[in-house]
Amino acid sequence: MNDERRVIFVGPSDAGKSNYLFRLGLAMHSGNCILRQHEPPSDAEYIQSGLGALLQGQFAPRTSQEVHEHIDLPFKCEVNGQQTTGRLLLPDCPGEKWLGIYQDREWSEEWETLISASAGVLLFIRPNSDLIVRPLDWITYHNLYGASPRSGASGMDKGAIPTQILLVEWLQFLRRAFDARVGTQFVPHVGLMVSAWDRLPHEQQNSPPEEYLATNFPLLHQFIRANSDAFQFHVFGVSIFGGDLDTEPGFREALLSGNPCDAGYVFHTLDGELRKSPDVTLPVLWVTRLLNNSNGPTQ
Amino acid sequence: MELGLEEAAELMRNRYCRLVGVMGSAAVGKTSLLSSLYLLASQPEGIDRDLLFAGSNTLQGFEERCRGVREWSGGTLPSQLVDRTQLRHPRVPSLMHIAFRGAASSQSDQMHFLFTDLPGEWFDSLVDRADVATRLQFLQRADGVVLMLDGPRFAASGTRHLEVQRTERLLERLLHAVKVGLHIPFVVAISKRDLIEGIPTAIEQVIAKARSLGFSPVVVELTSFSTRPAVFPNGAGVREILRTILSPPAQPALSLDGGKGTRWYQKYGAIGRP
Repeated sequence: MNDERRVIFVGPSDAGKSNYLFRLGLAMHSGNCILRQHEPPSDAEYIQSGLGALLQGQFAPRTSQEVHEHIDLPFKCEVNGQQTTGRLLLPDCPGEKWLGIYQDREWSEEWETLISASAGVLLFIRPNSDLIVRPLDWITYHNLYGASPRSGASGMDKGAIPTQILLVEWLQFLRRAFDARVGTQFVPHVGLMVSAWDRLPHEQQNSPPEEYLATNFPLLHQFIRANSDAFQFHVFGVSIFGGDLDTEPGFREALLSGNPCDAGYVFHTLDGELRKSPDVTLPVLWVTRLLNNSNGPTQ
Repeated sequence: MELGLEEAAELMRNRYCRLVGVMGSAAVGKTSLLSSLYLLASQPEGIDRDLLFAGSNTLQGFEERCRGVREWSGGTLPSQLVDRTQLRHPRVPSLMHIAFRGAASSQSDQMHFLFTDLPGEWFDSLVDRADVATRLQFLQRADGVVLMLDGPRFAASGTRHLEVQRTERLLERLLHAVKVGLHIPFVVAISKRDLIEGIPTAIEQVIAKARSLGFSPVVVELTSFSTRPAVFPNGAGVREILRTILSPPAQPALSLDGGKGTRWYQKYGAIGRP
């Protein structure tokens, strides 16, 4: 069982990284997804704490700034008749650490060791997060400054970096890290995870997740289109339970009266068509190359 | 944040970059042009339907310029382009990087640009003293020039004569002292177009001077940030500047202005943008 796959979770605070991580652990444990637990993890304390929250109908609390956990999950899967077993390494660190990488323009040696030819990346965005910073546009600009910088624009909040700028910078940093650690020819898989998909307006929930990016994060979307030779991208819309535990009346009770392991879904276009799959492990399968676009599931 | 000479050289070793000298007096709107370029790229429609934002090594620098966070520090400006070690200073003469890629799937090559971000005082000094040109000699290898002219100052009777004379002298310096190439795209950008009615006739004198020196000027009417967006859209002229830099050098035979030999990219008059 020496097949080792890594998934680097990237994203700002409150983007849904930890909740997805715990939901993934729950899905693998339940055994009704393509990616399954091969044997119990030897150190399960951290992931058990998160699973505990989800199974009681609560979202996991925000990751502490001190947390830098390395989850190690023995896995097995079968895709197109081919069985694979191995270890899935999933480091979890708070969004504040990622913000520090942006501000300092450097990363730790520990972080860089995560970069390898067996690594894929999941980049998280949560549309309804209060911490999303919208990009400047002309209307905002006029509201803030009047006409232009020439009419006296100083004094702007230096900390309000638009989320799409952070995401593009992180991708650029990751590309440089892959260049240095693996080589310039290596094309990592990057899954863009639009989390809390169920919170989008209903008319948007049945649209391809990439459309959401194009409308709301246009610079990031252009970057993705323009760098298809540097990364292989796929945009997923993810809901870990299919509804909101905090704000949707009756949802928590309904969830707990059934099996939470059966809740949640992933929107994807891995086979070229928009699909809604109950298998929340699909993004991890894809970024770790256990699943290719061409053999994507049709459910 | 931004690139010094060392980092720019490193970048250029790895890929072809178009170096663009953005020139003009203090407060003419050079930083506004860079900010407007960045804001356009950040919008859903992008800088241009056919050009996708492909990355930037100076993303934070663009963002901070756009927010007015990084201002020139007045009397303590360095006298040369800085190297890497000085880049933590509040605002220094430097280079801004941005890359684009054609939207068509057949266009796989990225187009990298390095725009100068230099204080207007450098160009004001160059008018007065030829020896100031040494700090600008890196522009001898420039792939394009954007000479910015202050629209309102060229329109006002009290300032236009001085503007014409100083710009003519600047053009002479660019040719003889800095030795900017004659074969490269040469944009004359009339800034703050939203603040003036029509194109000042004094601009024609500058264009004639540029042509007499051998440059092939392409005039672009520029509104980086508009006070009248219904008439002059925000960012009007920015994509034309980019297109001109990407295009082959201007030829006098391509004149669109009745044989005067100047290419006018697009006019934004009372009818607004087409």
